[in-house]
Amino acid sequence: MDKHLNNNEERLFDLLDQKDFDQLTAAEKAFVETHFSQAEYRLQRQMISESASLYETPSEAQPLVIPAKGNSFIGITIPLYQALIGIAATITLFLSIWPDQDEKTGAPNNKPALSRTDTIIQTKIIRDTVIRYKNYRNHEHTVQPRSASDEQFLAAQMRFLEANALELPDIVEELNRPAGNSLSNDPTSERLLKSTYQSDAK
Amino acid sequence: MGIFHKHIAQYTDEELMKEVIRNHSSLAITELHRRYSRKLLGYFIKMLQRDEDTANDFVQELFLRILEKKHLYDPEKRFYTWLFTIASNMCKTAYRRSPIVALSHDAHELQRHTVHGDDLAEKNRFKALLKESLDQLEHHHKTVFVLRYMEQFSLNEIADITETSLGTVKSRLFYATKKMTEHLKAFDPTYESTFFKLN
Repeated sequence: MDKHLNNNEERLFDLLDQKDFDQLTAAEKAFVETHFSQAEYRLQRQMISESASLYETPSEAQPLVIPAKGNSFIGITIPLYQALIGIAATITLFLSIWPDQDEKTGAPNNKPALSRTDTIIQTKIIRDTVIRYKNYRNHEHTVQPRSASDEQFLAAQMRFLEANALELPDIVEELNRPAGNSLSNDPTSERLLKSTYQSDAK
Repeated sequence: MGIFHKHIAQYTDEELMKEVIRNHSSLAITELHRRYSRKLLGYFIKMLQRDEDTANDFVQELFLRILEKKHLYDPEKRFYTWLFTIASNMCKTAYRRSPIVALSHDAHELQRHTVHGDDLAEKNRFKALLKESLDQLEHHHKTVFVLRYMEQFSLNEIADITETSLGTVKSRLFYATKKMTEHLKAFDPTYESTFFKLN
């Protein structure tokens, strides 16, 4: 690192830069000779003046070759800092749109599970599916009880079914038993026949 | 080209550069190349001590770099100065990659081949020593010396090109000249250094 010149050095530099020794005024010569000999000053001036013609002027430079346009993306170039800003903006936008992406992809979460609520009161039941059955009545084919005796018959049938309801599982078991018995030995058939006779008797 | 309303040679450097920035005009960049390629060629030869072909490659690369970095050009500044700023930076990069080793000519050997009293021979010997002393300078000293005394730039322009202060430019020139003078002592046997008695 070059140190800055003091006042005397700067004045000497200005004189050397601009004037030959013979062009100096008497005061300037006196100032110069307190620092340089006359020969030294002349040598430096000669060096400066000879430098201008030290190298021969070169011949013409080769003609400029401009590469065909379109090598870059869509034919334009942008500075590196603009490209970096664009990339950073894209990443920021991406993260702001999908902030919980790690949770969705099942990335392991090392944080301990902490509950922030001690009581949950459910005030509203939200069902996602409601299946509604609609009863259609076919009025044309509805059988209306024709008389009081019919009503009594139906009531008796209902009571009979309710009374035998406990036996139904047994019947189901028997039905599921593998076939192979004759009708007389088949207990299911026997019971069915028995219940039929009983209802007829009533 | 319809974009030019007058002859291209009548445009200033800065106007041509604006045309390059706006329209990527190959005509404008070719005109700028025509104006400055020769001067730049000389600058690269001096700074890099390379042959003309290598210097030509540097000139070509420089103009391609202008096309690439055209957005960095400040239209308020002189194009010529900006051009040499790029050239100077290219030289600095090339110097860092492969430092230039000065070819040392023994001053006494040079003197032996010189017929004493022959003015032309004396002059040639002086030039040879001057070249040698220039090549032995540190790169930043050589840059300011070449720009000032060979390319005739003003001190303020050199400050712009080298991106330093005016004081730094003066200081570098002062010490560059001092070092070169020391080297040239051999030229003058009667030379007695009284350099900077104050120091």
